[in-house]
Amino acid sequence: MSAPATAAPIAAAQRRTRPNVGHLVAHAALALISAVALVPIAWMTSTALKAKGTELEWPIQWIPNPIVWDNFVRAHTILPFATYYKNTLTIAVLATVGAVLTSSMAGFAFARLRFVGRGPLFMLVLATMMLPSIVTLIPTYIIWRNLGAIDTFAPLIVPSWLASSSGGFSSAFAIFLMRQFFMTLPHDLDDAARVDGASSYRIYWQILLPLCVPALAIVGIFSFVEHWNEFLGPLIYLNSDSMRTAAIGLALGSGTFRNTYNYIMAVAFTMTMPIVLIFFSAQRYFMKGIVMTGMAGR
Amino acid sequence: MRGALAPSLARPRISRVRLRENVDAYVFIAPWLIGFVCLTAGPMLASVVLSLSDWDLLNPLRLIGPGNFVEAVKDDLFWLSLYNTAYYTFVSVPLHLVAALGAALILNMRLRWINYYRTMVYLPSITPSVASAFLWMWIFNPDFGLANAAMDLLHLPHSMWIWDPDMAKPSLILMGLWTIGPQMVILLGGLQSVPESLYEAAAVDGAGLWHKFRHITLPMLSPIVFLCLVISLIRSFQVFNLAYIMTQGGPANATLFYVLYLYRTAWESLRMGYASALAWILFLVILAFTLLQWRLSRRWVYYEGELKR
Amino acid sequence: MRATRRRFLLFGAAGALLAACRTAPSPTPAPTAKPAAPEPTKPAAAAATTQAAAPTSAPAAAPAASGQKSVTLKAIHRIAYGPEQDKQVFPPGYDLFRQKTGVAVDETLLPEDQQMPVKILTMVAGNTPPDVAYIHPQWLASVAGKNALVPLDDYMKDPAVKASDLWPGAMQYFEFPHGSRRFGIPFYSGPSVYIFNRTLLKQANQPAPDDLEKDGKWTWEAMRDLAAKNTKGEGPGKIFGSDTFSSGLHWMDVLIWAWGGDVFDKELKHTLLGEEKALQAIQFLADMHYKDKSVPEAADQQGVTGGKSGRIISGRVVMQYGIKGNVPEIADWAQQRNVEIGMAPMPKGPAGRFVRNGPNSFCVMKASKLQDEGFQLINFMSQDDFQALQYKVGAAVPPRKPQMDSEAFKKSLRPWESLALWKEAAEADKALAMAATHIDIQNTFTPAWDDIRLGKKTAKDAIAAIVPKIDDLLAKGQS
Repeated sequence: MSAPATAAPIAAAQRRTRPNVGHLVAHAALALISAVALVPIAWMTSTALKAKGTELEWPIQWIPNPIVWDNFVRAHTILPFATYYKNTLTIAVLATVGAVLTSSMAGFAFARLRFVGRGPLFMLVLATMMLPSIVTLIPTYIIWRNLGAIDTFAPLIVPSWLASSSGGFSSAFAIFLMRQFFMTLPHDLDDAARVDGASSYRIYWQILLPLCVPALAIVGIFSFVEHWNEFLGPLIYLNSDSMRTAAIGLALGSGTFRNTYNYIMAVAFTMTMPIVLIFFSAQRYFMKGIVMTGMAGR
Repeated sequence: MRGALAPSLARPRISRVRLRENVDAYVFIAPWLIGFVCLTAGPMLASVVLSLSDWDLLNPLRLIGPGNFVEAVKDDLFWLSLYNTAYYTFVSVPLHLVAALGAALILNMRLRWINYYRTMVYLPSITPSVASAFLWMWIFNPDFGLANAAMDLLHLPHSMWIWDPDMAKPSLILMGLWTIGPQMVILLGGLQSVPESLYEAAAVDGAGLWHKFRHITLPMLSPIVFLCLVISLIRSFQVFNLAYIMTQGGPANATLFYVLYLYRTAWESLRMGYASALAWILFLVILAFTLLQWRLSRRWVYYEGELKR
Repeated sequence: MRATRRRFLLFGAAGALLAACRTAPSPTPAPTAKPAAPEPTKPAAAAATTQAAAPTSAPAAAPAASGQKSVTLKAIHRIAYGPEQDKQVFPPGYDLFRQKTGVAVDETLLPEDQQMPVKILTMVAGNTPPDVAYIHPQWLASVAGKNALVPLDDYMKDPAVKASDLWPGAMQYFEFPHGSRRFGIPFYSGPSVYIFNRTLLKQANQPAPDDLEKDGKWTWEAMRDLAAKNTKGEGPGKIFGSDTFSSGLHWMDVLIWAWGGDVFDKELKHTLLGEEKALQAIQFLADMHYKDKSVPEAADQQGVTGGKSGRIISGRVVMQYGIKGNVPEIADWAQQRNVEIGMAPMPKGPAGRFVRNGPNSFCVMKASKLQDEGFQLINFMSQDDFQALQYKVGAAVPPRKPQMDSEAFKKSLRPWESLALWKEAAEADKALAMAATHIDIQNTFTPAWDDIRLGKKTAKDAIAAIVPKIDDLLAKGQS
């Protein structure tokens, strides 16, 4: 089973190489989906550039007249968005590093190691996803309060380092995902390494992890997106303005009696674009076939 | 392979190897274990206590025994929201999977601009909800929406979509398909681990596209498909945002999903005890379906690297 | 205090942690606690009211409050008028308050979002309560009904509060039970009036509501008629004669009263929604929806044509039931578009004219250790200095009668606003009495209203089905 590993990098892509009807259909379908997917983004962008009071005019004026570039500046200076973004980035990056590391560790153990309690413990991992978090919010808050961590980033970052869930991102999901990906790898990889005297740690770090780059990239993207957009956690745990995140700032941009759609959309734009870019550039990691990575050492 | 390895080792060494493996495994799951004990287990246990209590969040709680569970059985809205949620789950989970799998297969092709297409299919999942709500309000608008324009093309009668109690759930399911991105990404990642040589061998045998999909792609991808099914079932049973943003549970409670009802019970009615009971009932429902999936998975999920005892 | 602690001990593992950390210092460092040196002495008002403090203010907590010179109130607020507008009002307002009293305000601003209660409740349940919090009148009954707020009646006996200046109608919204204990003093008030697009009516050669009012013909029936006549076109260009009405019982109450009915009986034991007059009023509204189609349906309201201040600013809605908070946005829009806006009182019904309101106030949390200071802030925000800051924004009717006659307020009015009408509205203002379970009652009513509005059921049938449920909830709200 190690032979397939040396095959073409992008699996299945070469099933049909000549340009054909299938490709045309695929292009047409994808172009249509892309067009629809771009509508809200286009609306968001155009609204962000509209003059106050003209945001909701119907029919939609897709190219605003006049174009108010200043909205972007004002939307981000009414509230201290430089601080908000710094905070958001800190949380998202630190939490994501932790989530990728700890979920892959746990996923590896559940997929590749035999140990007492493996089955029940794994069910327990899944079970933590099954209870709506609404009813655990207050007890969890009390734990963080007792640790003196209210109005710090700890409740938003530390759970990811302990492979437990915080807000929209579920580490249990990540563990399950890692486990499934580890389980698709042929077992003779570790057996051969063990015969060579490799420890579990080496098998994890040097042999299997490099083969799981797609899964790691996926967990990384999901974690980053969820922590970047997370609303409830920062709302509950953070109080000071200097600790706020961009998602809270975005929500704060809306007044009770006033449409501030142009400002809101300007912020929504700057919140969305980094994720789009990250996804765009990260896809080469999860599109990497088994072969490209990690096999060089063998 | 493992069978070949084991007998070659002497007995005492097996147990030492086994012990070693156990220790290693617990080191690997240590972060999770610590997190579970310190952060997750306490609140979960606390919610068990809450489910047996009457607690308005503002005053001391009062233990009342299983009364909340008895109340749930007699509660119309409990049954209605459970029905709404089950409807949503059982229709949307398969649809979601088929759509995501289709998208993943297409996006795994070697096409020009494929990187852009992939980003576009993922884009809806990261579009801020204010912006995507705008699009869907427009699509569903009964007077000039795109959905009714499509109905015209198909010579079908117009609908009020999310504003019609009978159509609201199907409309939200349709809208849910908008965010297949994450599942598509997972499946796409899974497709990378299907060895190309299998396809080549099949091609030599003259196998068609369907045959390759059915006998190579699907079995090799089955662990990942299983992952998607389990996760999306767990998530769908807890569907909340769609209704919270688009319909607030209406019209006429047609989209009052379970967790939305639970949310109202906890934070609006200030009945955290009853909400906790509802949460644990949902927990049991989801657990039952997950265990069922687990059982069934033995028949169709193929693990290349399965551990055998 | 002790009671809440007992509760936490029940929290399984969390309880053990808590017991260990019971004496941990308050986790919130209050970073903005700048020393407020200038005024070392408390003003007379505070001194006079201190003895009135509720008995629950924990003895253990007392030293912290009285021993220090500078005190910081932890306040939870939401965006009130808009992110830019609020900057002109609240930070300078708190500064002024600090100069006067030596009490600083550390405000945590929350989004105007339904999840605001989640934050407040979590803070209270987690034993890190704010001292004062913005409590919406619709939410007041739930929270006050659970004894989580400090009644202000004793404080209000202080002559410095000048309680008799306050509009009684707006004050009712902070009473619980209705007509008894008071929990807030509005800093914002917004009694309802009718606001209309005079340009559209002129173009159609139709009488405006204020013209009809002059002739004594401005009734709900006349409004419906006018709305139907001015509904034109279809699709994205459709003009609606009237804006839609909220499904909130605390909005619809004015119609039900105008027909001579009521939402609940006096003792809040039974709902009267099922009685003839209330049904007529509800059916009247529903007919505008599904028979006349003169109001935007939910489909039209959301997303494409909506505005925070009502859909009049889409330019496609002729008139709406409006409040003072809507004025700046509508006025700015009208100026930009050269549209003439008019203002009229609420239409009359068979039983007369009724006005509703949605005033805003902070409330003092019972768990707070700074209850006196909390009241001081609430009182301060209703007084002239703070109100003067709000006139600049022009989105609030002042809560006190004499303030309405101040030059500053008069000057802040837009040309089409009428001082007399605002006064009349503030005078006629009346709150719906709510039970502690009102939110559940509302959540029971809304789906029924959906069916009525969509024409799927008559008011009679749909309401009949929910009357027992509402009565049940009323009974639960009594205890």
